[in-house]
Amino acid sequence: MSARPTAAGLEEAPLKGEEILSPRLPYHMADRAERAARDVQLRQFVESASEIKFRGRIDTCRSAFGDRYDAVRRLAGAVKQHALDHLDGYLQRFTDAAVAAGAVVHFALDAAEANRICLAVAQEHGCRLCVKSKSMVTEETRLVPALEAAGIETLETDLGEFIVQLDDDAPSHIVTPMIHKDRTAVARAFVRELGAEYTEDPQRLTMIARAHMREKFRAADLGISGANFLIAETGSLVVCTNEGNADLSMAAPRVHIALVGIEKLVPRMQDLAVFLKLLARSATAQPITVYTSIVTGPRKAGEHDGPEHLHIVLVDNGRTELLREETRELLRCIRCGACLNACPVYRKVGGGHAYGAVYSGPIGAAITPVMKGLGAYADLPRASSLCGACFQACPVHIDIPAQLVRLRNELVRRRIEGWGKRMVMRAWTAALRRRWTYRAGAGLLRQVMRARGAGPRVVDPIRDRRWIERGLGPLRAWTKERDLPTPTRRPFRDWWAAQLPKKPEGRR
Amino acid sequence: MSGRIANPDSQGEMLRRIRAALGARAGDPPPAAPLVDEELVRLVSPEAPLAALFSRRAADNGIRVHRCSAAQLRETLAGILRDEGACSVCTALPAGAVADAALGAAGDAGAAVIAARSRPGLGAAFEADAGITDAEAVIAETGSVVVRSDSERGRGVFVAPPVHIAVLPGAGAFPDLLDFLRTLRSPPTSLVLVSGPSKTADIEGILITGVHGPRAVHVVLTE
Repeated sequence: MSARPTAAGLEEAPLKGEEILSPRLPYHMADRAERAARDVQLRQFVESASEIKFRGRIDTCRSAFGDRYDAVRRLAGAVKQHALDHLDGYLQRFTDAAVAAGAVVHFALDAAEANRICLAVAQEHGCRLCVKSKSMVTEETRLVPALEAAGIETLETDLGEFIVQLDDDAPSHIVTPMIHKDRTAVARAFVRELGAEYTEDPQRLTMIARAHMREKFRAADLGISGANFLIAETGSLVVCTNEGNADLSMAAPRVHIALVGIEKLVPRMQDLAVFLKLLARSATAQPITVYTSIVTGPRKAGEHDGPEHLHIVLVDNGRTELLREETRELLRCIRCGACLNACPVYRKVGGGHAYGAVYSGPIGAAITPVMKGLGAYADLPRASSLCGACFQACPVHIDIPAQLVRLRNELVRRRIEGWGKRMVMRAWTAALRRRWTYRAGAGLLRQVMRARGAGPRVVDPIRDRRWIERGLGPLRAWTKERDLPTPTRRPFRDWWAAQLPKKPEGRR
Repeated sequence: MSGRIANPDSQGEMLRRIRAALGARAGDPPPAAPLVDEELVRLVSPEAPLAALFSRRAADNGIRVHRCSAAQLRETLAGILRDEGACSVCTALPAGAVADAALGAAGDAGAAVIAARSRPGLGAAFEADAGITDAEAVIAETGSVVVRSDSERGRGVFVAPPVHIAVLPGAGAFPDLLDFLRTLRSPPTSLVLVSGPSKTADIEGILITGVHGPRAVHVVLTE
């Protein structure tokens, strides 16, 4: 987050990338959410950017698939689920095919091993300059700082990631990493880091970046990419971008390393049709990304260009933990970001940084606690209204709200949820069991809340209410940011009953 | 360098973890994957007027589509090069009609020809103002041009120069992505579906073309 005046007129020091993605644990979401709540401009960026993508996705999916849309995303989910259900078999099939195509296949059990492999490959080939395209796995492993520490200059070539890198910031969205920054932040970064002339024109800013990066592409001896899909039957990597930076990163240097999570496997080339039709529509409301690149092995004998060496690093780093039956569906995720754009909480907390981890939004709230420990990220499953917008938006039909509820159950079962909260919930459950206890409890609460009410009274006999500006006890935190309306004098239920004709005797 | 598994120990451990999570028995081959139901997934019928549909969708993507006879190809290419003000052209084409037309057109438009093979790696493509490729196919559904790399074609020509001109000689239009991908049994080392000029909207969501790849893409369909 760049420093900018907040609503209170204060300057806050921006958090650094490392701090944002790897906060001190256990992570408390409230601090960052509050910080964002004060930053009106930030919330406006995130709100408008997500809203545009949210509407765009609905329109393009509807116009392409019409009534079939729901069945198509169920099919996509079923194909991915099938690949996960037989992941051992498909992993071997992919490995055999990729090796036959001439790739060197590595297996990384965790982030440290993944980085170690990349460094060893870079050093083996004497690489000094690396061009890198967007990859969420490399964010997980913090690969770029590791390469830089080993003296290998590494450049993020996706425009958004490049700017994030210049500012030592962290991506705040899976697809559009600088959703939280505006053009003045870009202009300042280019003046400071590239010695460019100050301009706020997005066209000219983009051309400055292009010129800078072209020289790097020409000189680079190492290219690092991720992959959107791995095709088991052919050993191919499939990479989708709009800028063309992945194609240049993969084709220009003499060594190409692809770092890919093992959940990216799909069985056949034809399955790709299903996913390509959904991915770009869900991510950016495009029918397909500008470049869809299918890479199978390194340069062959007789070919003039392309990498001499292709290394594919298949990464676990917590995925086999998610593979257990109850969470397996979460690995179907194709990282389109549609659930982020749809989520009212993601919008209100100022985007991805509030989630304190690489994956943000609803999908992040569901996978981070499993991958990095529920105790460390207990706030994330709570950060949802369970409205279901993410489930509706998901192109591979992941029931994210159900997963969040499951995690909340686990919070209680493992007693991570505090004693007080558990007791309140237990009392609430008991009260809801019987009609009279419920009515007595609700009546008492009604009186207490009405007594706290302040301000002008609405005299309307039905709505007759005031506002609570400062709640009591645990309610105080809630009323810090908003006013709570008091309940009416008479419950709606009683009013409704009085409007109905007299009921026959014996009705409960 | 030939392919191999670099660290079988970690491979074994990863497979063990996977099987522990799945409860699967070692070595069971996966059963048939779910059927990709055409009724659901297909967006363009094989009976659709493919050239017209492709032209429309490609135009939506920001690609300029030209149609001409084989005899007019040289003239059409020269026209595009002049309009784009290209002073140099990079090509990586197999010998034949398209290569001849491209060379002739470059001469007509006064553009220098830089053969991809004249510089190491993508060097030639980075220098040129325009690149001419012969497309493997076009896909009507998505308005995409398919370019491949092999011993005669390069990986840089379609992406490094500011202008990319793809020629599709004769028929080669697939209705749906599904139709194209089903033919792809043994893919070449690199195969790219190009669906427009290079784009970004990273700065405040404002669409800019020509960020890393070309700012303009032309497709010439010859009859």
